[in-house]
Parts: sequence; structure tokens; C-alpha cells
Amino acid sequence: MALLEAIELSKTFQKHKAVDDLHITIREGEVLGLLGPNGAGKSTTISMIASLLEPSRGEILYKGKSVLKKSEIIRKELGLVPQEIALYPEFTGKENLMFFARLYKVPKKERAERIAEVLSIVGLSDRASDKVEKYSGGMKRRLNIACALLHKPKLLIMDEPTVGIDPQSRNHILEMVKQLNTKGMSILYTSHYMEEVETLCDRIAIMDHGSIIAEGKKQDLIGMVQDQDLLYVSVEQQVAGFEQAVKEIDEVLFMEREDFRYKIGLKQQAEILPELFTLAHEYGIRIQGIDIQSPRLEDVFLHLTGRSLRDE
Amino acid sequence: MRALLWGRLKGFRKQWVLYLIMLILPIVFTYFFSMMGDQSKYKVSIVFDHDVAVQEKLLDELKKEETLQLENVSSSEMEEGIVNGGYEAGIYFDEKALNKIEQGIGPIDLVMYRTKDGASLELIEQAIMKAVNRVVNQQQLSKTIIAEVEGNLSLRNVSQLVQNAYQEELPVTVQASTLESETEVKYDPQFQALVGFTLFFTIYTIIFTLGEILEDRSKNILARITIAPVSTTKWFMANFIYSFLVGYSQIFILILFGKYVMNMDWGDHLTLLFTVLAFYVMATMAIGMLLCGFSKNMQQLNALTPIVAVSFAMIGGAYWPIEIVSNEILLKLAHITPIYHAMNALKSLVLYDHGVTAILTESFSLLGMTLILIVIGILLFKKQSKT
Ligand SMILES: Nc1ncnc2c1ncn2[C@@H]1O[C@H](COP(=O)(O)OP(=O)(O)O)[C@@H](O)[C@H]1O
Ligand SMILES: [Mg+2]
Repeated sequence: MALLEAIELSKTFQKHKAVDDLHITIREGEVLGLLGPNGAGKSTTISMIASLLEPSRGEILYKGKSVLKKSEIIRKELGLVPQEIALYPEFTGKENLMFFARLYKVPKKERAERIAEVLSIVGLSDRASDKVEKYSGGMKRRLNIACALLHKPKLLIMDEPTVGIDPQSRNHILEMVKQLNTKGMSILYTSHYMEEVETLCDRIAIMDHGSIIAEGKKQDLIGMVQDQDLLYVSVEQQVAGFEQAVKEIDEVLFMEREDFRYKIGLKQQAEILPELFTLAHEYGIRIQGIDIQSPRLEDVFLHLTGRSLRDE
Repeated sequence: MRALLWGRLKGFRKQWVLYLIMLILPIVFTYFFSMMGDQSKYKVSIVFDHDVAVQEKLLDELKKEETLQLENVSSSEMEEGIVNGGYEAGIYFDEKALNKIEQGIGPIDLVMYRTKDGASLELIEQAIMKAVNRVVNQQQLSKTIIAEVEGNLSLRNVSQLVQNAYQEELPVTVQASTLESETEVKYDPQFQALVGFTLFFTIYTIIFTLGEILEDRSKNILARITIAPVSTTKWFMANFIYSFLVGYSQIFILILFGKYVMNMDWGDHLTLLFTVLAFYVMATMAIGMLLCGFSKNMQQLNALTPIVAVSFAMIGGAYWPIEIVSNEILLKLAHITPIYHAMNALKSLVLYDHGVTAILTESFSLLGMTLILIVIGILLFKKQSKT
């Protein structure tokens, strides 16, 4: 069943279309990954869903009711983890939690218990009495999440919760999201890291330039690029013209260069190695290594947009 | 709402240093300026060429001039005193001048002795002339009345005459530029300094504490608050209450400090005084809200506030008494500053001992300003938040 549905959602800033005719559905009990490069419009979409920003056009339904008409219906069941760290740095971790617990009207009797509970969920129990300004980036991120959990939300929206943190905190957060989901929380997880979304999410929506360009289960998405193989070719030096020549081979779909390594998309089962060696010889290039891989989720974005997610 | 206020008050520990500084500065400045006030009393020697009946009266009037510290001496004492720097100037009333004063007729020429030029000499000259003018006026008036009474005057006309005499131009023109008839202005340097600097420095605490709303917005805490079951109206209210408490407590402490430590006399209308000050804090908060409406973030507010505070203090009469300003445009401009209205109301209460009616207009101005600016400020803030 659809917990939340955004229909034909659009947002225009001045003349710039940040979100353009976007459709998205979050089902009850799932983790939906919203994947897209910086500037794709993920945060803008989230702001509209959370009733913080009025859409230029479109409708948002929460449990079938319009959020635009009555924002309370989503607000009280929503936990929001903003992309910025929305905490008071001069407060301790506990004080921040106390502030938001009072704000979210957690009953006085339950407050201490809830605070202890979320602290242990995010693994900050032993640092709760330290000021947030003394926290590491990863700890701040975790407390930022904890603040959104105090009132036991049904739907948790996380906007890039792992940006710029150490791998340990990151793993902790990913693990935590899984746990929360197991306990029945529906989660919208936004990221521009492919691996996170890959391991975490039941379904993935890929966003670019304000709209969803692909959506489905991980396997479905990979299926979109299954009809191609990837060939990695390492070379000793670059020679002008070589790349162009390879691209002109019929079976080559695309070609990208990373320093001294080429990534070449091929039609499935295509046999271009003899031709490749001939060209390399012609241009006086020594090939150092060759590797053939079947496609991964990461290649879907490249396939759809011709750009890679990372460089954005 | 209580949660929001709780959060703000807890956050005050971030601002207590600012609070302390803004508490100490008005006191320091008041001591500093009051001391300068003492220095501005000029030692002036007076020499009378011969004894006349009006001499006593002349000395009384001269002593009323607060800028002067007078000594009645002989002419040799005066010369010696001026040469060795004991007196800043000496005024010589010769026979002719004394006679004219006695009879209440002008023009009167006085001779001023001094060693070197200085800005202070003009002030001395001015004060002397004001006092002499008053005496000449009185003399002339009594002479006229006596003359009229001698020539069969009915009592009803006496009051008429008195009025006419006061409306007449001053008969003495010693130096045209410095002669001006004016209603008496009361000036108390300590009052001016303490009230002025209190009103000025509290602008900072009031606006900076209100500026927390910009911090909330740029840190996205506002997003969390918006989603929480509390209305943004309450969020604004909590911030206003916080800002008010901080600003008002500061003023309260400074007024008490003036009373008990500096021994200042705040008059008999303390309740009214504190009411006006509450309106002042509210109006300043409204200015702060307007500035928040214009600012994208705290940095911009930090840049705007001193500009507004200092210019308001200058044109509103916090640094110096507004009475010394003669420029029409500046006087009109003064009305846009809360300082001007608060200062006026406080002067009415403390220096002139007027009651509630005297402060009504100023209180309404402050309240009106509060309502209008807060509404505009909030609208601007909301508009700014959307983009
Ligand atoms: N308040 C705003 N005013 C103008 N443009 C904005 C505003 N917020 C976002 N944008 C623009 O909308 C686009 C999408 O931004 P955003 O939703 O933050 O992307 P993402 O979260 O995917 O990185 C960007 O090009 C951004 O510059
Ligand atoms: Mg974003």
C-alpha cells in the first residue's frame, strides 16, 4: 500500500525548474532510495513532501489524504533528518534531544526514557553530556538523526545523512537504518552514493534534473543495462586519436577515460579485442591490462544520462 | 511555546558575555561622560567697576548658568588669574554697562579678558549674555510697571503689561549671533549619559538575541520546528519574549544601578518610567525584526545592527541632548528612532516631573512603531525563507 505518493510534483525557483513533474511512491514498510547527483532536486522534493515548501504544481498524498490541504496529517508522523546538521552546537547532545523531545510533545514521563533509547540507537550514550561543538562530523550526523526519532515517526525522511563522515559512523548509520526498518519504520533515504542505496534499499528511484529517470528494484534497474558488458583497458600512455578510433567501432556504446584506464561499454558478447589490439598497435600504445565486468547499479546512471554519478 | 522558550533561555549562556559587556559599557561611558561634564564648568572671574543695586541680582542670574563657575574679584586679581591660568576668562562690567543694566536698556557692551582663543570662550560668552539678558529684561519690566503705576494704572492692565513685556524682543544685543530667546532646557549630564548609553547599548542585546531566529533558519532547525506540533507564531512569540526579557532586564539593572550606586534621582514616577522603557524594548525588538527580515543570515544582521544602532543613537539623542540639534531634517528624522521617543518621555518624567499625560504621545509612537515594524519584519522574514 502506498504510504506516500507525490504526483506531478514541480517546483520552480525564479526561472529554474528544480523539480519537474516528479512522481514518487513510498510504500508502507519499505526503504526507498532516492539517488541522484548534487543539484538533482532531492532536497527540494523532500522539503515539499515534508510540507516545508509549497510546490509550484502537483499533489502530495499521505495515506491517501492531501498534505497540501492539511499538513498536520503528515507532520505528526514524520521524522525529518535535514541535510544540514540542525542542532544547537552550544548544547550538549542530551540538551538538544531534550529540546526536540519537548518540542515534539513527548510526554514528560517518557522523555528521559526516549532520550536514552535514541541515544543508544545512534550509539552516542557515552557522549551525551558533551557539547555538540566538540563532536566529530560523524557524531553530529548521528545526533542529527537521533533528534528525528524521538517521537517514533512512522515515516523517516533522511536527506544525505552520511555526507562527509568517517566509514565507521557511516556503517553505523546504515546498520541503524536497517534496524529501524525491521521494526516497521518506512524510510525515504536520499543519497548520491550508489553503494549505500544498493545495500540498503528495497526500491530505488534515480533522479536527475528534477525528475525520476528510472525506478524499481535493484535487479530491475540493473536489468536495464544487462545487455551490455564493461571492458576496462589499462594503458601505459595516452595517444591522441586512439580514443576516437575505438569509439568508432560499431559494438562500442560509450567510452570514458580515468587517467590511464578506459572504461568501455560494449554490446553484450561483443568481440572487439582483436580490433582493439590492432588499433593499439597502430597508435603505438602498450596495453597493460584488460578486465571484463558485468554491469553494476553504478552503471545505470551512466547508461541513462551518459554522465557518471560521481563526478557531479 | 514553553519548550521553545526553554531552549532559548538555555541558549543564553552563549550570549552572557555580550550581555555583560553591554551592561558594563553604559556604566563606564556614564562615568566617563559625567567626568567630562565636570570639566566643562568654566572658571570665570567677574569684576564690577563699582557697586550698584542690581549687582546682587546679576550675580544670582550668572550663577544659574551651569557651565560657569564664578568668582567675584577685583580687577588686579582677575588679571593675575587669567595670566597664570587660574581663570579661563574674565568679564569686566564697567560703569556704563552697569548703569544700562540697572535701567534695563541696551545695547550693552561687556569686556571679556582672556589669554588665548578657544572653543570654550564662545560658550562662556553665551552663558554670560543669557544671564545679563535676563536681568536687563527684569529691570526693564519693573521699570515699566513702576512708570505705569505712577501714571494711574488700573490693576487689570498690569497683567497685560507683564505679558507684553515678555513677548517683546530682548532689549540687549551684545552679539547678535549668540542671542536667542528660548524656553529653559533642563540638562543633567549624568541623566543624559546613563539613559542615552543604556538605550544605545541595549539595542545590541535586544537585536542579537532576536537574531537567533536567523540562526534557527540557516541551521534548518526552523524546519524541525515547523514540522513539530507547534505553530511558527509561537516560535516568533518565544523569540520576542526571550529578546524582551534579556533587553528589559538589562535596562532594569542599569536603572537600579543609577539609583543605588550613582545616587541618581529617577523622580516620583517609577512605574511610568519602567512602562515607557518596556515600550522602548518592544519598539527596538520590532526594529530588530525588520532587520532580520532584511538579513539572509546572522552575519548580515551583525553587519546591519551597528549601523542602525549608531545612527539611531546619533539622531535620536542618545549621545548628546537632542536640544543641541537645530537642523530641521535631523529633528524630523529623529522621530523614526525609538531612542528619541523614549528619551523624551523619560525627560518629561524625570527632569520635568510631568505625569502620565506627558508620556502618552511618546508611548503611542513607540507602540505604533512596534506593531507596524513587527508585521513588516515577519512578512519579510517569511518571504526570505521561501526562496
Ligand atoms: N531556494 C532556492 N532558490 C533557488 N534555487 C534553488 C533553491 N533551492 C534549490 N535550488 C536549486 O534547485 C536545484 C535542486 O537543488 P536541491 O534540491 O538542493 O538538489 P539536491 O538536494 O539533489 O542536491 C539546484 O539547482 C539548486 O541550485
Ligand atoms: Mg540536497
